[in-house]
Amino acid sequence: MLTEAKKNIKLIGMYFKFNLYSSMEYRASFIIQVLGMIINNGSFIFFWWILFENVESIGGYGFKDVMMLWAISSTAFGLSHVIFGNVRRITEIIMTGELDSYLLQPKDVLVNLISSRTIISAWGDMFYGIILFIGVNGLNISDFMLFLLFNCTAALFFTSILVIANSLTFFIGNAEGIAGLISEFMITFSIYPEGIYKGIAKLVIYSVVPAAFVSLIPVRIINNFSIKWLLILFVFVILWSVFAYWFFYRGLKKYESGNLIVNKL
Amino acid sequence: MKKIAKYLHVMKVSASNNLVYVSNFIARNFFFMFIIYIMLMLWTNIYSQKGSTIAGFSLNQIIWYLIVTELVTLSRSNVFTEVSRDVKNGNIAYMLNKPYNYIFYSLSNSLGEIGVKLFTNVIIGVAIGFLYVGPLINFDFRHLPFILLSLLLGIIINFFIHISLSLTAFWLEENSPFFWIYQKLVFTLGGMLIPIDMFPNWLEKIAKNLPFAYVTYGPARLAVKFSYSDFVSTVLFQLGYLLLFLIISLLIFRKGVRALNVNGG
Repeated sequence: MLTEAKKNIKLIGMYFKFNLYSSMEYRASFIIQVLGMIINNGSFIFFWWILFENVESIGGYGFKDVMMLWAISSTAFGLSHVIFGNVRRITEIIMTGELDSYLLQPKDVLVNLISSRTIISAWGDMFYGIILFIGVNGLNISDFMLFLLFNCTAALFFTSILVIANSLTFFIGNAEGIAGLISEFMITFSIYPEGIYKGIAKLVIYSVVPAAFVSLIPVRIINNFSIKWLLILFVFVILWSVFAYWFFYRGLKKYESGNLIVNKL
Repeated sequence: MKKIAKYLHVMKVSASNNLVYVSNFIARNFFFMFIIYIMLMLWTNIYSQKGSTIAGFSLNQIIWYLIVTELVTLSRSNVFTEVSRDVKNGNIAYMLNKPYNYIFYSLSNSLGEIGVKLFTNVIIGVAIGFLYVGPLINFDFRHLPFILLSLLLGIIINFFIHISLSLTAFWLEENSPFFWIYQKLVFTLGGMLIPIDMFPNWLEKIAKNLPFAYVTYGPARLAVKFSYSDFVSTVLFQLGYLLLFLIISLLIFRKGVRALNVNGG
């Protein structure tokens, strides 16, 4: 199992390298997309600034706390889409029969599939989050290390949820709409203060759409370190990742070839 | 009359095309419900600290305001993507010799799409409003035609700004950052998520003179706080900006077509 994991990490590393080279081939386009995304995300600072001009705290969060939520969510979302850029396209790949070519390759199908593409604008999300975190929190090394750790766990949450949502296509046909919605839920829930969620919403963010684990719990840990919550976070990230992997393969058993003949270069 | 009839026909075809995609339609409505639900939770929290009105808006008015701004943004057509694609893949060359003006063809195509989206979104929006905060207080049905007129003007200004930006594809391969940035300008300075009245005074004055405010803020404010004097000034601004962006789009188009160089066939 350990050699298997090693092989997969090596494969992800290779894809990352090649995807990076190909993104850099069109440098102007890369820079425009990255800067565009940074400005795009930056607009939310404006929104929160205006809100906090009118009120001191929202759901127990101050301006800095909300910016930290944003920093983790944005960097983690970016990381997930830079490394596993095909995760959003799983439905399309299943529907068009493009999946056949991955089944023929001697690599783990899921890892091979999701890592084989990158999203250039996701680099913008990543840089934005890092700049924002340093901007609001300063360069405190221990906080920054925690920030990096939580980016990895949150990226795994984003990826797992997208894998699960898109794998629904194996069972119910085109799940693009549902997957898109679930992805919106994850992003939106993770960028608002926890105190505003009441009743069902609170239950949802700790269960079916685990947005609380993406950013809300991490910010709590950075502000007020708790080994208990750190362990809970680790347990959940492992559970969700294993479930996503299992769910994809469970669905794959139902897959029937699309008879698509294409050249994959 | 014959000249207009062909555009009306394009509009009809586009409307029926958009009635086909039921799953897209359902996903969009869920998103609408969800985003307003998040806003309801956010603003409920804010109002619980600040009392019954903020910058002259009650919680009921703010939620209805946000429903109207979302109506405008969710009812936009895909003109940016479609026109950019037509220009990039050279399709536009085949549309130049057709007996219509490309800009007006795109407008009628978009209006068909917008008509379907707006109609359904209005129904969903009103239902959400009633469900979340009850009927809009002080609403007078006699004002409805004036509000709808302003809403429609906002949507059409949005169209002309989108098409002007998309036509930059004549010169730029990657023009989507313009789209993101414009969207975020509407989002912030256009008062999409927060009424301009809540901005600091100096910024409020600037924002109220910019075109973005007349895409979303203008119609939404009229919907929740109607007065005939506001209506006249809003519509005058809207007509001015409509004319400006109509001229800009025609000029860019004319210049772009001259620069057009299509290879192959």
